[in-house]
Amino acid sequence: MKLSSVLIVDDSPMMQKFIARVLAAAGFGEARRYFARDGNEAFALLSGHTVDLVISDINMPNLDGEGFLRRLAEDQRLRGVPVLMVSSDGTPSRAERLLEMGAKGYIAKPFHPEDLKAAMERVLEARDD
Amino acid sequence: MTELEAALDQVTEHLAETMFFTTVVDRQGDLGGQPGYTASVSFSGSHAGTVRVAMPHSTAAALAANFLGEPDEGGPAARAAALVGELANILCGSLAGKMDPAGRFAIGTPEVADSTGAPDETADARRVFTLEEGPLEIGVIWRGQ
Repeated sequence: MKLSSVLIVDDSPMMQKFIARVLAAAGFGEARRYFARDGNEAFALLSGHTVDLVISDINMPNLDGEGFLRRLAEDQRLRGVPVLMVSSDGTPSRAERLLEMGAKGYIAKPFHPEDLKAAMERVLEARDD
Repeated sequence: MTELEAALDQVTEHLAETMFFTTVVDRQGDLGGQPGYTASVSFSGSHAGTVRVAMPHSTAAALAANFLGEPDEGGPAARAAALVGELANILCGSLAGKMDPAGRFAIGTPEVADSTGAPDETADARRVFTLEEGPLEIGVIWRGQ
């Protein structure tokens, strides 16, 4: 499974670092990592860079995770970028809504690093099928 | 023990083990008047309320080191303070989902203060856990809409 580049979208620098740490521990330490603090920054970054996977928070200022998914869906070039949503909102209704909006995976905090790794692998495998 | 207290215990223990790589060693703790941080996160939606987390500076610094996989060598105070906000944020979402799985919630931004202050006596649940790294106080206001 190939992961050359990943975009981590979270307004919390702590969570950005935590996810980067999990990526490294999961064997993806060589992947090029990009960071954005909200959906607007993420969208701007994707306009200039190609990534294999986006890992995005939901609750963010300016453009939140749902708004980010909507913008991606409206963009012909970017709508195929796989997005794994990570959120502290653990309600099933939220997960269902995000998947309907185009997210390829969802994981609720708190999660064990192994669970995030497994969720990433499911998204990447689905992309490769 | 109330349903809210039981849920708080479960969520806290799960959070400690999964993302902070530690365990709750006692559910009866005491902040002991040590200087520390407080983070409050409000939520609204199917239910509304606040999750307030307080812990000594030393506990916050040690948990930040665990969370980031970096040595606890007196990292910046900002890192420890941010950690308390992050922990409160995750706890809030996780607790809301556990108490009302069919609910819909909007979770606010953590407000962090460099003070533990007095516990909120109006809280519907208040627990002081002892982690391997030190004590952690959590107060929850949980109200129906």
